[in-house]
Amino acid sequence: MAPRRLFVALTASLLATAACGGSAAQRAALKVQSQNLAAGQPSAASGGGGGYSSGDSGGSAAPAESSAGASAGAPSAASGGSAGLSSGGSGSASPSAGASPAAKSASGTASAAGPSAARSATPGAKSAAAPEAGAAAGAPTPGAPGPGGGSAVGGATDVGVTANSIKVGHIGIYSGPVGSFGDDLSYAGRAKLQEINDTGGVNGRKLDVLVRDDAWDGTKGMNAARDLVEREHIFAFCCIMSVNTSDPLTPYADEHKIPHIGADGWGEPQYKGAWTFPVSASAVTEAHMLAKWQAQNQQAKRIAILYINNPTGRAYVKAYDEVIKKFGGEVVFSQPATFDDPGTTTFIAQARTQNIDTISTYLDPGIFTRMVREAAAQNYKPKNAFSGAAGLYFQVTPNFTGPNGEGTIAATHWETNDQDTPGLRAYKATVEKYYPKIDHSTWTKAGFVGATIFGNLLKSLGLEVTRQRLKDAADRLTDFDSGLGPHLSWSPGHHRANKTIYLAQIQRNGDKFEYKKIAGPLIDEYAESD
Amino acid sequence: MNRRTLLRGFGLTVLTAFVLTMPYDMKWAGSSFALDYGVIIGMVVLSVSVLGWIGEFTLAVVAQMGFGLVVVNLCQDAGLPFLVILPVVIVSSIPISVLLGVFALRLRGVYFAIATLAFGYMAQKTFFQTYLGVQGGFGGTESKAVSRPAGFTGSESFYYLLMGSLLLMALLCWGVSRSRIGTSLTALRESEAAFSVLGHSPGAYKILTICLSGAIATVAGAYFGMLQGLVPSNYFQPALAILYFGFAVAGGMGSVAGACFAGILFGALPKYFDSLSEGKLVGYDQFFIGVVALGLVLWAPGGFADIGRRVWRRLEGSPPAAPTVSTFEIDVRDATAAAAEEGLATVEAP
Amino acid sequence: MTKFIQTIIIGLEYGCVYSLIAMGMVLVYRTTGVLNIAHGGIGVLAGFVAWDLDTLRGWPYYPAILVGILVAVVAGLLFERFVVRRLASPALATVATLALFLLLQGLVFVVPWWGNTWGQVFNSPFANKKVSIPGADYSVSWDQLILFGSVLAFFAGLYFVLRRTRVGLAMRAVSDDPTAARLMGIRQKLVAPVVWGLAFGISGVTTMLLAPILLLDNTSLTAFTLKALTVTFVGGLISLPLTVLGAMALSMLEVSTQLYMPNVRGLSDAWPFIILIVVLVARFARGTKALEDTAVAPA
Repeated sequence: MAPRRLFVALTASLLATAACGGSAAQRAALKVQSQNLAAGQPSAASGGGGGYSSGDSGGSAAPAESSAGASAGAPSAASGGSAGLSSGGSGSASPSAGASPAAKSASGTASAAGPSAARSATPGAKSAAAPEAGAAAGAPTPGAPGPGGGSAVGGATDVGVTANSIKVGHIGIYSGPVGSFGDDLSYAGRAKLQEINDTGGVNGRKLDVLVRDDAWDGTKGMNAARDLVEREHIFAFCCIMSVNTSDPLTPYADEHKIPHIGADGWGEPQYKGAWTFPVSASAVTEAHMLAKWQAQNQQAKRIAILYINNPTGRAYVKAYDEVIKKFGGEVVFSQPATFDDPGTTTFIAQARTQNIDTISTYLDPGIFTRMVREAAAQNYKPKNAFSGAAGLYFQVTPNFTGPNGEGTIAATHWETNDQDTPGLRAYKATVEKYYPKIDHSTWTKAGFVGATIFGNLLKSLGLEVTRQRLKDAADRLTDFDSGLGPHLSWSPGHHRANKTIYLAQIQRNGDKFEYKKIAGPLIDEYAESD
Repeated sequence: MNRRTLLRGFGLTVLTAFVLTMPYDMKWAGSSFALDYGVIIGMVVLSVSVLGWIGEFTLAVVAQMGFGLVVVNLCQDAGLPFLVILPVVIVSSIPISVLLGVFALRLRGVYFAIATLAFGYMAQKTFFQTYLGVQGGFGGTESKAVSRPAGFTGSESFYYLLMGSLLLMALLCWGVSRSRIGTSLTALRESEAAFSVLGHSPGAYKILTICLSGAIATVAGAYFGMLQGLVPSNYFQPALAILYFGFAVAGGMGSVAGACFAGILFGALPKYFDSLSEGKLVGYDQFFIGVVALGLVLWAPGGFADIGRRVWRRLEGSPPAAPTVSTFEIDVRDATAAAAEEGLATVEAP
Repeated sequence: MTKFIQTIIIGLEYGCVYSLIAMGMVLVYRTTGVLNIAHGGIGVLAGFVAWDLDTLRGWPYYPAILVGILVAVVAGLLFERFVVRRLASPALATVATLALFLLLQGLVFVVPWWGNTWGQVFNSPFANKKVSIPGADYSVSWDQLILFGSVLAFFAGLYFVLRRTRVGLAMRAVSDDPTAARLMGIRQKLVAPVVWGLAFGISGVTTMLLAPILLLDNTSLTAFTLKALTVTFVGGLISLPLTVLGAMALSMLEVSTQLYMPNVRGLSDAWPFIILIVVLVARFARGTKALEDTAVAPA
């Protein structure tokens, strides 16, 4: 052969070998990978170093290798070359994945070569995979189950995913006007994510949680979100409990196909996103259930509502009115309240003259406290006291409102703090282990549940962690027991998972005031089906 | 070719190269979202600074931004293409600008500013939160986010659209300031009485300037909607207008380049700090801006524009000019005197 | 009748809030020509210092608020000495107050143990004490009564100081014509610190009076300041009686709208602007004549 042709042939074969994951380490890793895929869906890692537990069946390395070689030119080749693996009846039909860190996630379609997992041989993936591949080379004999000791590892299956880590973006409220109790909303979710890491991670991968602060400002939140996506190349968002960020993040997540598991759900836009999965209930559901309960249990007929003048506040008023009317009551008047006008004072004055049974609110603790204190100053309290959305359910609220706040009913979306259930104990144990002084509120629990679901979904994906697969898995979530009361389900186009409300009332306990459960779970039968 | 020409050519080349490559040059510091936000703030600050030509300042820019968001949302709902939306947004700014212009005919200085503040307050509370807050762009129950034009959906591509728009606005303003209109505005600012004696209509020029400012602010609001997608209805608060006025003073009131620079700097820099600090510095941005603004007032009252001029002179080798104060002064004393003339402050202090 | 009495009392209450803030700004403007945009910010700082001492460190109430007010006064003196005095004109000083406003807002957020700047409870010793209004289904708290009394005291005090005392006359002289004042032996360097210290001190006192009623809250105090600024327009930033009148008018109109016309959404928030238009139109009628009188006839 002429030297030149020889040179070309050698180069081509070298390239082909490289494209097939040419290093020995990679081949070994690929061998294990193919065996496991052939055996079916690997079960979730159960602690230990991750990797596979039972399910590793036989299957020689050779077929995998030869098939790897044969399918070098498979249409599923991602950027930088890839190795197509024989599926052998694998149930884990995996969409192809670009594995280099800079590669965008591939589309959701499976490769044409059949359900196969493509592994890129790009330098990034190689360097990431090599140590794990080395470990894999020393792994237990394929077919021998290794409980928690299986060392088969994943690779760079998608953006933000390496063989030993998954980058997760989380944005919380750590500064700004509500920084002091806003940070608690974030800590609960982070505590759960930390626990997942401390107990072995997700199938051999640790969660690399990148935390940012939005100061409850949407522009800062979107800046952080975009930085996390564009510069840090995260895999997904988890449990963001800041509505000012979660709302504008929803269309962005849809546009860039990035899952956000465990969003706060306080804003209606979040239920319209295909890639956003809220865990908490909405203000509309709160209003529905409060209205129904107060009508049935307190014989409330004449209601006045004080609300923050934003779309969700107005939705709360409308929802409360709709349901109270079904029970023969009415919202006699409603009024917006802000920080800098006489609204709270005139509202109280009106309520007294119009014989209001109960004052319901969609407020933050600050304005609510002011309203209650002004009512006290006017020596006034409605027959059925006050009620309000989940914005009232913070442990500091009873102390702020003082004696006149006794009897206030707050809606929350999870089992109340005063109960003693296994789920609540587990929640508190986890959260207080890492953040002992947390104020347990609706959204600390939402963050915890969101992080729990996120971890579970990731584990269910096995090694083949991709954004599309995570999204699909979330859309198949059925009757998930949060441990804190509600059972959650998502399906495509229907992300309003939580329609459950619990009611807690401020009651006197000696010389203190605290929330006690009075009702729940109440399932919102009036909620929209989305 | 003399030193000045060489220097200008070099400077222009460097500036052009930097502007064209900024999103990529700054990638190490954060997402181009920061730059996009900075450019939009540059537009807003430019709209505030432009009023310096007539010796006024406004606190209504934030309200005008909000109306821009509403208009772009309505236009997108109606399915209008981007190239039609932009002129519609510009034209829609005129009624509000004319209304503010009417105030400018009778009010000066802080009185005009207070009037614009009252307008901004009403716009936020009555319009955005009560009546217009149901719009999708405000995160209403319809929840349809404002979208970016096709081809400009990414942060980098959107930057080029924004920067192109800002440059066009800046060129327009620069052209106006260099034209006979600009000369007339300078004369108007110096002495309105003399200006009217010479047969010119101060009102017409004031309204023209306010319309120019309003158009820029409204377009900035439309772009802000595209940047964020969904904006809370209580976002456009008057306090924000005070912040942007501070930026305009830091840039040098009346200076086009200074305003653009200050807006981009104060808009983008905190966001980059947020990214680089991984969120740890998020709560410090207002403090940082306050310190910088105070420093500028004390040591460079003419703002960045004045600093830039002095540096440029030094580079060119020209003799240093006398340090200037702000090209615009909120001359409350004159405003009071003028107000007294017009019967606004007829009552003496007790 | 009850509603009417409620309108008067609530209107008076919030009118006092607006008046107190507006008078502080008018004082500074009238005596220095500077629009003090940082008025609210200083008050917030003083309030949080007092709250820190009282609630977090267990100080007695009165020493805590005295320290808070002292912090405000010292801030005023320092601001005058190191900033205002170095600036060439009141215009620049106004801009400096704007920068100070941003700095103070930011400062309150970054102090870690002040974390929640959104609605801290800061009770006075008169918490829960109230007085019933005979004939009306209404009560007024002692804090509100103290607020009423304080506004009257401030108004009377400022009026007296500016008109009847040497210090007040000196302040007015310096603001009207610094050169003439200096020639008459009035030293601006002695008068100016008094003005700024007093103004910032009033801001601190305002917060101490408002916090037991409205909660100690960064956002609301700032928002009230901006609203009060629109009220100063009524008095032309010069007349204290008109400023107070404007504040009361605004408050009464807001309250009546909320009580009598609750279904007219957004009207109560539009009153600052409407009042401004009315004042403008009223003065426009007079102003037009003045302009016509002074205009030079075309050649």
